Amino acid sequence: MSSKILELSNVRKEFTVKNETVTALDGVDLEVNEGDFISIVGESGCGKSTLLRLVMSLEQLTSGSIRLEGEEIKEPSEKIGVIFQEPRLFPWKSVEKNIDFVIPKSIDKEERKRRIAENISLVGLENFKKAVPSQLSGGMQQRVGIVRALATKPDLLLLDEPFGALDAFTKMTLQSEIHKIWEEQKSTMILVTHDIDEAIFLSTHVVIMSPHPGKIKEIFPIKLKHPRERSSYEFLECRKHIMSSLLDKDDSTVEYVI
Amino acid sequence: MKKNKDKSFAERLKDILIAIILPAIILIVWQYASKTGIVNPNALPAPSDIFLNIFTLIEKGQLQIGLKISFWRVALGFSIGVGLGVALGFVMGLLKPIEKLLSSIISVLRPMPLMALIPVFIVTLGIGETTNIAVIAIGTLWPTLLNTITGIHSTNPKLLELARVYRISRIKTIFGIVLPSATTSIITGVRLSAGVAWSSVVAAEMIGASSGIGYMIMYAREVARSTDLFSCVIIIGVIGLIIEKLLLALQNIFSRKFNGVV
Repeated sequence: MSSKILELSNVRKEFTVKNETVTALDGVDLEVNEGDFISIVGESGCGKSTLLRLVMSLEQLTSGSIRLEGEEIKEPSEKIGVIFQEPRLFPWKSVEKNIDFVIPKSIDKEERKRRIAENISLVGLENFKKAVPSQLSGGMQQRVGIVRALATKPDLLLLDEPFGALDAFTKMTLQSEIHKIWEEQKSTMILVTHDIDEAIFLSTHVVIMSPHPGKIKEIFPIKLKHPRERSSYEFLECRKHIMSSLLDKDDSTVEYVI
Repeated sequence: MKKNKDKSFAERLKDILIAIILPAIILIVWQYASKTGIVNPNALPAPSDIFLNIFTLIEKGQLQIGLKISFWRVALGFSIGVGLGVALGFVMGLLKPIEKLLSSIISVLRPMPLMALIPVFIVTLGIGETTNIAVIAIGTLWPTLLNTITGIHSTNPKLLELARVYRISRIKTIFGIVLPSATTSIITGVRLSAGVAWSSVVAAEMIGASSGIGYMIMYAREVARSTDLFSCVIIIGVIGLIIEKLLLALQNIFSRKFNGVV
């Protein structure tokens, strides 16, 4: 029995735009267990990114609660690591120093060094540890972004469309790397994406959201064995199910839409 | 446009020739007009005479004495102005209430012409070094102050968000993110301040000093030595140009390091 890491109950988030109240999320309940890989998919404006920002405490709840390992979170937690869509590296810092910057100051020098070296080699950037971001390709920069989050040793890793800006090949390579990290480090991850294949390839569960206001429509478990073959029949079946759920059609008519 | 290093020697020579052709014509016409008496050589001495006179001034040591005093004033006034500009800029850039508090005063003081302030300073501070240095300090304060504030405000919000997510302390955020983000802008301010410092020392010395390169100009005018006058003006221009070029190079080095896509 795996333990519960994150628990969202009855989460509601309202924004005020020009004196008008817009409900971004309403009645969202979600449980994330240790070792889960949760993907959140949904069209733009369904509140999937807002949901992630609430967990990061970059936004505050209107009502409901978010509990991390049983405790309500009110401000950014040490137990959470984040990978953003952009690498968000400091242009003036080397790869090593970019990673070092986010490691909590309570960690001693030896341990910092070890974590930096370990994570740099995890994504094969040993020869680039002294390089600055402008000397790296887009894919390499995002790799640094990924291992920077890992270097803080988070219990929960949040990924906010981390591969959205990358080309198709780099994207697939990095998806495999994330999968490897998830499997080897037994970490818990929540991924926000609009790439359904990516969600199926990586996840234990796909959370499908619908907009206006943002709600969870369905939580769809993916039971396929790894490594998952993107063109396999089972994979396409999952894809079909998620697509139809997103587009609010029943399975029989979805072919016409795709 | 091609970069300089991509050009052949012939192409570069052509560029240089085009750049110097107009100044050369002006100098030749000027030399001719002055030497043949078309214009009064006392009003407009020939370039060759001015050129030779610069060497005479250096030989006699007058130029070095004047410049040394002026440089010392610039160094002191510039350090005070720039130091104050960066410090105040940081406080104003980081603390919104302080910025609001001071912005009205600054918007009144800043557009005041420096030249108009010199007599005011002479009355309040008296004729002397305090006035000279105060003029330079005030003149150099503004570009650095405003560019420092702009630099701090231009810190990428995505990097600040990252700092929040990873619970980076306020001090570490300021020194690790805000300061490096503002560096290019601060250097731009310092460069502009250096230009102001050099022109304001000349202005201050022309009105309220009895030494320095600015005073040398006034003195040459009083005793009607136009060759000295022109020599000093040209020296001031050349030194101003050197300061500008040096600081532009410095600015380029910094902007290469600190700017980039996040």
